[in-house]
Amino acid sequence: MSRQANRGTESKKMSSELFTLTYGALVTQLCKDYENDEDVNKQLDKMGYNIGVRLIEDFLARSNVGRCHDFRETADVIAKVAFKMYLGITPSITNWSPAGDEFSLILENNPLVDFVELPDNHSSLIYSNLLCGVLRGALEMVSAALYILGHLKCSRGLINVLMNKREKRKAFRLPSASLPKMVMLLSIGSKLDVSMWW
Amino acid sequence: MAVCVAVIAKENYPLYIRSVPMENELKFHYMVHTSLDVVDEKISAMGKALVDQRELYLGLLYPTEDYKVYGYVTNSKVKFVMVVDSSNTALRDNEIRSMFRKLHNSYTDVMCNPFYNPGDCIQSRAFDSMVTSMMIQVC
Repeated sequence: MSRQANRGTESKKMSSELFTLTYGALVTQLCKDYENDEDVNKQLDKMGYNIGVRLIEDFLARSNVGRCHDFRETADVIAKVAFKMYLGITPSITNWSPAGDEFSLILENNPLVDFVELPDNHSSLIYSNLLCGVLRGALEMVSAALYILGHLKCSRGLINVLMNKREKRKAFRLPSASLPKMVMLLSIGSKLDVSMWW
Repeated sequence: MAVCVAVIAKENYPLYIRSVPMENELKFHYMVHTSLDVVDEKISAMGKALVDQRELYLGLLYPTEDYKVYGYVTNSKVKFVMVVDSSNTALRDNEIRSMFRKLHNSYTDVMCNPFYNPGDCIQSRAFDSMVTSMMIQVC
């Protein structure tokens, strides 16, 4: 995250190394505290969720994005506004399902995984899972209809995020703003692949 | 070009050492080990001047019949030692310098990996492949 915007339009810069190393220390500490990778993934997601539910407010207040009318618009806002705002990167959106209810976000250069090489004994660790949690939390706040499961994989600099949106499809309009918030956290990994179903 | 590359910790134990497979490994270990004395000597001899100029490259440590040994020491006293075939006369001082710089950058990345514990042996794949590329080049 090269940039962290402060209130309003003014934006502050911070060292991306500091950010990356801080997140790395967080993940490795979790790895020490928990026996297996699954628990670590869960914790990361939980932390991300708590970030997301707060971050969405900030995002909505600062971005001036209105309600999204369809899922594609939502995806656009997440990738181009939210990620840009919080992580300074713009993931590419691919793999749209024919029904238009599922897509992937690819993070070409995830700042979170800059130096990371996953050791062999952590093969199931989803290093950037925090980002998934953030997206989940943020989206949940803007749309009751969304339930997202995130999977972030970081292996050799690759991060894949898979998101499943299951459950209720009630009121569909997703305010686009909520999605972008999650993006901020994603900068951890080099590649992020987010898929959503609804 | 390089036939052996070694990274030595501040306390003078090896963090990483790799040599070309076809040669006698022990011989290179011995050469690197011997070179540490020269490194120490150089550091203490020109210690102050080196710090002032931020010059990390120590230059040629000593030549043998078949090889030349070069050294580099970081500000945190981690040493890099490289053994080069002396029949390769095309190798300029500048190239050695840039190889050391590459090594240093790569080492920095290893240190920044949150899963690496400082002081452990280096087992990074990225570092490994970087060293491999230095050994294959022009070999």
